Amino acid sequence: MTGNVVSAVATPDLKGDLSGAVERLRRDRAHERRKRRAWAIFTPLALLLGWELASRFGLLDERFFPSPLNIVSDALRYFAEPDLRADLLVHLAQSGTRLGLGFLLGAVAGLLVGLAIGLHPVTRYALSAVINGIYPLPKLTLYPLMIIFFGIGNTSMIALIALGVFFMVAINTASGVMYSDPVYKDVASAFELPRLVRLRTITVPAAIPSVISGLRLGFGQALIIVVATEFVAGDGGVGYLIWNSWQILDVPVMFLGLTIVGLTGWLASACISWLGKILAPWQAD
Amino acid sequence: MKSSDTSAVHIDDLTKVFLSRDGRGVHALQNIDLDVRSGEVVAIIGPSGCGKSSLLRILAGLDQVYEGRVRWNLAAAEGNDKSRRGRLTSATVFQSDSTLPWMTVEKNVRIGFAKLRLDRADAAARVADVLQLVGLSEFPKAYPHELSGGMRQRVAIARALATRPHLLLMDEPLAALDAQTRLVMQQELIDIWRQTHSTVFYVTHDIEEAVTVADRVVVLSARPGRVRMVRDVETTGASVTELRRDPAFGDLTVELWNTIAGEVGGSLAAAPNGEPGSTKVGVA
Ligand SMILES: Nc1ncnc2c1ncn2[C@@H]1O[C@H](COP(=O)(O)OP(=O)(O)O)[C@@H](O)[C@H]1O
Ligand SMILES: [Mg+2]
Repeated sequence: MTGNVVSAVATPDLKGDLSGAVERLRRDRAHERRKRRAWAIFTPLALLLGWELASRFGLLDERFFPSPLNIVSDALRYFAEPDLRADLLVHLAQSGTRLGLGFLLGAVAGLLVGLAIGLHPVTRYALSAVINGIYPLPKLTLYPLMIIFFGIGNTSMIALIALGVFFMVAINTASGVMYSDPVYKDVASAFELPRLVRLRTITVPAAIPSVISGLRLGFGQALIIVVATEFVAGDGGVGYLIWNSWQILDVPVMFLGLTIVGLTGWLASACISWLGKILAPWQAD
Repeated sequence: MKSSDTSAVHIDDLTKVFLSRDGRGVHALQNIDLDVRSGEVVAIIGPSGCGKSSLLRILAGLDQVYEGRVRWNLAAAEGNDKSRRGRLTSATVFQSDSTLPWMTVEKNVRIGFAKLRLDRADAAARVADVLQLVGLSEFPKAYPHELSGGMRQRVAIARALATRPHLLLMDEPLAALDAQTRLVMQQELIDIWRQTHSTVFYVTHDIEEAVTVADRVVVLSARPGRVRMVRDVETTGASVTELRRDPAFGDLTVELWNTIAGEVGGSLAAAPNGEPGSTKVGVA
């Protein structure tokens, strides 16, 4: 088939238009981000304001729901008075140690066992019945058992936290290794990657998103367990602070404890997200 | 593309049966006899689901469970130690997207070098070469999710070419590309294979593509795949577009088309409850 050139146009220079379009896109994105931030601040503030007004006008019982401003001014005592401050710091240090050590131990063990389960079928067969048997148990039910093993005190609490974290991280790591796209394994085999290179560049990165969600779930478990065991054990910690202040009806301090737990959860979640972004920058956010 | 008489891969009475999830045997390949000669480009065509990918995976060593014998005779002809260390025995381009999403384009290519011992300069030069070849020179730092499907497939092609394999296995490598890019890539591949005397096993469902790139075309029957027909390609065109004007090109294409059409019809008739969508054969 032949034909004559009917018309031909040289490719126009698009540079000028392009920068305008990029500028617009950038503005749109910045606008969207500002909107997101504004709402993230506005909604909680509105709720607090509603609460404040509700307790001011007697819609809420001041004994159980003191107004936020009262809570803040009351809680500030814990930062202003040296005695109370020292007290608070001790509680914080106790809970922090339990949470930190338990989470770390559980996460490391979970990561290693999860990898082994994911990579080695016989390990998987050997462990799956045990893990599937224990996993559905609420971990708190095992606290008495931990006390029998480790005695009353820090060790049994740390062990229980580690256990809770361990299951979440191990199961998620294993499924990250096992259920990542099989073509990744094919690439590793087809290009004959040496064992360690394969682990470092294929197996682990493919599992990262799943490991990250395991860590997130694990931290949630850890927070529940630390608070609950402190409710019961009665030898200090933020959980003890919450339970004790409730029993003596020092409600503002109870809210202080709640705020501390909430902030810890939020901060940890942000850190884990950040870790996810660092380790898995390819994941669209 | 002159091929020598030495056999690169010898396939003898190969049969492949899969076990389906519910425990039935799925007969994918039956009694395949085929010899891929050193320096030869063999194209495999056949209806969807006839076992082309299964055969390629066996040749890649990814699937080692089969009946019959496969003999590889790849690195033997190679000369000194240094050049042996610079080439992989075989490299594969997969049918599905095989880029690693956590690596940039450049790293995706470099991961193929893991087993080779290349010095820095050589590795960098190879990456630059292949990215140039597949038209991705401007994207070495891009992540796969920033590329189109066709671009990702070209990254996979670049990765395989960069390892200078003794045997190159390609599973419908250009299927994800648009028609124009496909022609350009066909030309690039032919050129590079001529230069390097590559041994290539090329799976495609595009008959014209098979005739364009291959020295020999093998037609598989509908599942279970048997060798239905083998044709040498006698065209002499220097370029992809010239090739299409060669009367031999048209004749061979028509002959292959008729053979495959028979297979597709047969498989549709034989599998009344099978998936009709799976038997389509692309004809350009
Ligand atoms: N892992 C598997 N398990 C079970 N059946 C499979 C598996 N892989 C492929 N098959 C079956 O083998 C046949 C051939 O598949 P495949 O080689 O992918 O065909 P093609 O690449 O020619 O389209 C198909 O019927 C497919 O369903
Ligand atoms: Mg296929």
